[in-house]
Amino acid sequence: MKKFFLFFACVILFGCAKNNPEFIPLSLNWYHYEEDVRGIDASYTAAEVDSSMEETCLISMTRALMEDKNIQANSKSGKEFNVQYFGRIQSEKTVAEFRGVCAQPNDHTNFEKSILFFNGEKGCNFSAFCDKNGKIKDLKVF
Amino acid sequence: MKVVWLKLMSIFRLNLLIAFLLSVTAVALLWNKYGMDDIYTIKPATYPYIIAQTDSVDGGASVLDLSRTDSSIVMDYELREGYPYPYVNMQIYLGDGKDHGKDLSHYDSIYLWVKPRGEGSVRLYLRAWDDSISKPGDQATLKFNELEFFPLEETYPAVFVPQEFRVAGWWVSQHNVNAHRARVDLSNIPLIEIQTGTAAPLGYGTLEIMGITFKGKLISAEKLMFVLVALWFFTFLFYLILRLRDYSIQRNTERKRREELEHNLVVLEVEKSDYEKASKEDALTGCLNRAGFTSILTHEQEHLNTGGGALSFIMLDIDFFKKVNDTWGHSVGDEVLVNLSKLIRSRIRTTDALVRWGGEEFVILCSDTPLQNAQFLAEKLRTNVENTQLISQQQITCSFGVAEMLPHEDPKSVFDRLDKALYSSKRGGRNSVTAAIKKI
Repeated sequence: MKKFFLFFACVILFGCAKNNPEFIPLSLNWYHYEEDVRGIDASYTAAEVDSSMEETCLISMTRALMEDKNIQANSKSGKEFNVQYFGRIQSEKTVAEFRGVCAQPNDHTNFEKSILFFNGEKGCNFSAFCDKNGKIKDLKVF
Repeated sequence: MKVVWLKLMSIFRLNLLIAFLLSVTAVALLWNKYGMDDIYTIKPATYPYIIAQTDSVDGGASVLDLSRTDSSIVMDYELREGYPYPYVNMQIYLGDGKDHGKDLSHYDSIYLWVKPRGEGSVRLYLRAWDDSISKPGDQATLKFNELEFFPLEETYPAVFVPQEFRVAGWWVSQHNVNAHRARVDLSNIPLIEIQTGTAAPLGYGTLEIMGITFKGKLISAEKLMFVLVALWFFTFLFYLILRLRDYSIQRNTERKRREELEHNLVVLEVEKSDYEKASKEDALTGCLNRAGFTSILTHEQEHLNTGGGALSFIMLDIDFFKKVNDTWGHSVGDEVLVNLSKLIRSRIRTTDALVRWGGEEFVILCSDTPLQNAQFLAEKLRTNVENTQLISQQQITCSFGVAEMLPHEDPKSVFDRLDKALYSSKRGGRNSVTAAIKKI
């Protein structure tokens, strides 16, 4: 009986305790890939992403990454991603493709010129598309 | 003492003025009543211009003997038949005795000391020169202002007033005088005649004349009243003008004072505004300082807590700023701060606020901005800074931390997150943006 009351008191105490949200840092290093997208995938057709779409998509992508559980998984001290994006034609429509990978210390690769390759670390890679309206599709974290 | 007196005068001047006028009026009226006499006396005993005349000039036979005593002149006469109206008279000449006599018009009473021996009337003529009727050298043309009286029936001296005189009717008809000119006029009397009257019996008679006195006032009561009324009128007119002048001066003075006060107020307002601005601004960069930021933050917090848009903050720190100062000097460091603040201000909205947080740290308050937008802005700013030559000596970069404030959250918590995010950017190699995202 005593144990029951103790348990009950603990439940009440923790249940009523103010639940302060936790925050973790997220750094995103954006790189607009300027080279030929066929170097990434031979089937890709390059498309121009105007500044309006670029702004909309970057903001949407940021939000999507912030709200993604998998991105936050195993990242108590935060994460830093290098994110490469470029425009291409998909189903006759212009989309912005995002490819992200965890940033490595002392890696100063300029992903505006170099192709970003995924690595084998789990939860450290992601890819997504963004249409003209800024809607993020097929966000995959792997 | 003089100043005090002048001040008292200015305060009580209306009262003093009225008191002065009342005093003057009272004194003038009393003086007029009991003094201010104008007396003209002719003493025949000594007056030189006296001659005797009888009706012999008109064809009569009356005789007259004129003798002087110490105090009078005595007319001993005998009226005889001959002329229809026998008479004798004594002529007293005034002025030149012709056309320039004496003005007796302002006298209001005439005293005549005359003692008759026997009954009979006496005539008193005040002969007047009238420019339109009288002719030089013709005594008969002098106007006959006459008064006939019985000395024994009068007081001694006999007293008359000018109103009792009349112009002799026979003279009027004889000279065909216009009715308007036939008025008693004593303004120019060259000749006074004292003559036996129409009721004087024939035979011997005597008239002893001691003197004639004309009494009047230097200023007549009517004139005095007119003068006093005029005095009161012009004094108050003058006072009114003075008051108007004073009022005008006072109004001008007050206007000047008001303008001066308004000017001072404007100056004070400007100074106050300057001081307020200075107290809320960083002197070097012109950004808000923490004091200025607090008032904006309070307002934005209220907006957020009452369901307004999201509120995000960007904290940025200049990378290796100490090195810039150490290498190029503090003036170059200041140049970096000034140019960086200018650059940021040109890239943020007017609704955003740039705050110099301290040293090389800045905070941007982004109202109605969710975290992802603030991070995008921070990324843009990072790129701008990276691509701008803030100083010629070296390239400057900044590290950014971004956080969004939750409703009813303590600002300390937000800035703690901001610090951590910024630290994360620094630790990750600087020149990057880190957002403090809410853990799911």
